Amino acid sequence: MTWRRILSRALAALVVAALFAFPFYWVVATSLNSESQALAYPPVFLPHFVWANYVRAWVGAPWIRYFLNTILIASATTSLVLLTSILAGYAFGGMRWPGRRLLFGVVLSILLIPVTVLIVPDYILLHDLHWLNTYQAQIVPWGASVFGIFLLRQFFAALPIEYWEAAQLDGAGRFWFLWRVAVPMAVPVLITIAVYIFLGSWNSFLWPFIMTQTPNVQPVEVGLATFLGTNGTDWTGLSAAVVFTTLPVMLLFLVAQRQFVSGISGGGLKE
Amino acid sequence: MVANRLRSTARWLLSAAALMALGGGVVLAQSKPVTITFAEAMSSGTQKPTLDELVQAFEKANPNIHVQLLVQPNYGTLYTKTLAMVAAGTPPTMAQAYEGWAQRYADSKAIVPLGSYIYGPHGLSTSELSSLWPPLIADMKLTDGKFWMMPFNKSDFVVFYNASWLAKNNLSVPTTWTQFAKVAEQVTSTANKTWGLSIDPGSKTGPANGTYMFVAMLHAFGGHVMQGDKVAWDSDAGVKALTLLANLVAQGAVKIGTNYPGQTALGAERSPFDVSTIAGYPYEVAAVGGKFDLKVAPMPAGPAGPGNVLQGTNLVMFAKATTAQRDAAWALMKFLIQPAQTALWAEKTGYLPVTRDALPLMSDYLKTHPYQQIAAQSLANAQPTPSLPHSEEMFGYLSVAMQQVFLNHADPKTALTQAAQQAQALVGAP
Amino acid sequence: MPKAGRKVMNAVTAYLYISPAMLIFGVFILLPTLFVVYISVYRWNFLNASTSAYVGLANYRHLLTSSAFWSSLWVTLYFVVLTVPSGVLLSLGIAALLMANFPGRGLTRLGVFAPYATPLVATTIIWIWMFNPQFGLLNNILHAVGLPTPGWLQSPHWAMPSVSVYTLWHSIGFDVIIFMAGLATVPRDLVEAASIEGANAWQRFWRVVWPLISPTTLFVVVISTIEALKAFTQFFTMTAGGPLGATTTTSYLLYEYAFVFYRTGEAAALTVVYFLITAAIALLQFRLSRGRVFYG
Repeated sequence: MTWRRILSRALAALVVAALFAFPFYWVVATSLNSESQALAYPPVFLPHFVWANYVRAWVGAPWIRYFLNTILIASATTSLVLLTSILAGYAFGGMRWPGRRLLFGVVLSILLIPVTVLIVPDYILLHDLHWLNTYQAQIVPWGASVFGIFLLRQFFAALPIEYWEAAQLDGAGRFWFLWRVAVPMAVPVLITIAVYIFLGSWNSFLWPFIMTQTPNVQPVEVGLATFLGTNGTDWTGLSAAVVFTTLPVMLLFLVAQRQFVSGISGGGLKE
Repeated sequence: MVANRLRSTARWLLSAAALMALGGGVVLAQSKPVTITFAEAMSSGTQKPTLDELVQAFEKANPNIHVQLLVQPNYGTLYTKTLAMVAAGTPPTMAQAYEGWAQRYADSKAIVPLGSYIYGPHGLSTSELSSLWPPLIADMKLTDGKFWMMPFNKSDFVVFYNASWLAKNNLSVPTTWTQFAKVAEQVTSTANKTWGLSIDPGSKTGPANGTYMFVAMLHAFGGHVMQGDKVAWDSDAGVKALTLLANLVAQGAVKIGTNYPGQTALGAERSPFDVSTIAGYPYEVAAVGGKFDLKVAPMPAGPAGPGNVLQGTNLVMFAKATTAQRDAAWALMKFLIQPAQTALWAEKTGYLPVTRDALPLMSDYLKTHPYQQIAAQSLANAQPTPSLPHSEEMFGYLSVAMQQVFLNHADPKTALTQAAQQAQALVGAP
Repeated sequence: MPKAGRKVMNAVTAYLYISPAMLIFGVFILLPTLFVVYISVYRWNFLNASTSAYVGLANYRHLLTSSAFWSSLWVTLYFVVLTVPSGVLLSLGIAALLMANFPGRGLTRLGVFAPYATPLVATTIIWIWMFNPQFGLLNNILHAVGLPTPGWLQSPHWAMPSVSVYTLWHSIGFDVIIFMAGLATVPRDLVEAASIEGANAWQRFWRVVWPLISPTTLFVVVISTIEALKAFTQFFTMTAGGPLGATTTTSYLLYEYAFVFYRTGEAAALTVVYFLITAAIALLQFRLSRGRVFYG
């Protein structure tokens, strides 16, 4: 490709990247400015390093608790999803049995059900289980994932049958084959699912908002919404809270972006 | 100023200690430990730490009682959560409630009347009861005329203003809505990006400060929210009041926003006024940050005289609690209205002290903070909002009417009439 | 083991393996969905379930004759029209841009995807602030260049476009990744052959690339539509369905009926209707694409 082509691509990409990244810059800048600078006209574009906003925002809510809750909930959910998806994905993709297609159709149809539909009946159910305002209420209902099952089904279906046949000849059962042979091969897919579920759990809002009442079990997103409700006029403090609640996710994403991307694109993307 | 504050705080601290030593806390008959839950929305600013402080003092005076505060970020969430808890059969022991919410709880038999507690062995003496501000006593009742609620965080509207700005431009503090409109127009300038006032008219799902400001205006113009069983905000008074506001909005003298926009605009020196309840006092002070001389004036009067509206919530007690829990909850409710406690609450959060007996304890504070006097005097004109189970939704229709007039330039009479009809359908609805 | 026996063992094992997932799906998703259908034929008392009264199809009749419902359908359609076509085209364009190697490519992909990876509550706050009519950056810039300053999230006219802009910013990254995967499957020699035949860039794209990525395009269209129909959090934090219902999509209306007005029975009826609509649209999209998607 000619250098002119490369240059024009790079410029176009720069514009795109700038447009997408600008809001992040803006919230960081606002978080580091004083109230009057944030409200000023003409707008103040550069941060003035007013760290007091961060201090004020940090002491304004039990963020450490929120973060710990979020990590616990997200990790537990991810582990549970991996377990259920490996088992179900293998059954749907690596085995032949009656009812397979129909049940998979049922699983897929779940994608169409919005969370809002489930809130009222699930609230009553969780109450009867005495699970309201607990960790389990935020983990178990999300312990199975259509996305996870779908990806693993695809993977296991694409696995050459020779592997299983060879293992059978050696006297292995399905269970041994699944965990000792198939799963180790599926690690890249598993990582993708793990990242997807972990991020999804971290970013979830409506469900934990309705099912919990106190900060001792609430995740960070609910904490931020609560903070927005109580400190809604403190734009600089609010911006600081946005920054430090988003930073961990950003870091996770930076570290794991390769897996995430390759998983979504089905591994077909050339780097 | 600070020294005075410290002195007055010290004074009432001593009186509080004295009162508590004399039995300001209620002694319970049994000695078994009991835990009660209190669902509330005192989550921001000075409200949270002050309520924590009061509860700790209560627990110290009543070592058998543990109070678990279920703090919600706002009233909307509080209502949602409380209803959900009631539906699931696990209501809190007590909660903050607006009059309409309490009616709804009462209709579903979720709460208990408080008459037996007020007149019971650990109840209120005649003087204790009559020392409560009269509008608040009336506000404790529901449509059946019985006592169902105890006052807690009550307030009414005042005008916060930038005295430095008005003085610099030789503008006098408006005492009527007509004057207010004039001053608002005078200070509006697109070039300087200044305007008179920012309000939040609310929305279908939630009335806001601006909605209730309009109700106060309605009263000042001689109108009423309800006349008996009929919604009456579409009267001539209502139309006149809304038209005045609409004209100001059309000229850019009043701007619409969300999230307490008046406070932000006042603090940023873009508008000289904010019309809000005195519970906003600490927030206004914080927003102003000493940049200018912040003062408080009573609500402007209308053609029918001064008009205001009672704001804030009361406390209700839920039926699904043990006797011990209910007794403990009553003890807390009674504790909170004691002069020492309500004075502390008022000084720290800007809410009104619920009893006149608290005023002597606040004399130093009142000298340097005239807003409390203004708010207390305005109570005489502060009518409470109706105790109807669907009052939120009804006021939501009023908010919609205001939005239609301000944003879509609808005709005030048509908008108010339509809202009145829709609200009327909810009166008496289950 | 005889063959039949082995088959049974196989089936039993399979059912066993899917049971944890199906149990969770069943208890927390499928059962509640059925329960909601049950609720929809009652005048359900949220505070005291035992006092609920059976009302047959009354909730449905109420719903289908309420202007709020029909208006929410229009609002939802408006949202889909604003976000899906532009989202698909923009993400395809950005994906195509990112297919070649050039300095800064990795960073650009990162920048485009970051909004998707970050939590909705946090990022909507950023945009609420930028859209603030009195103090936000957008209006400050417009005022500086002498242009009119609309009310954005507080204007009935601009609220939906504002939320749509946010939604595009948030979700394009995901679609870009999918398109990049799809574009990577286009064999280079086919494109080169077309170039040799004298086709210009536009023709190369339209005649060669576009048909080959049509399964990907269909996929992106379908998931974008479903996401648009499901969207909730941004409407909750940015506009609360307003002003004046301008951003009350059917999904948001459902939340209002269930949790703001406590018309639980009607909310349940709305859920059922909404579910049917969503399923119908997804199926329709698959049907319509029959002739157009080239699966090679």
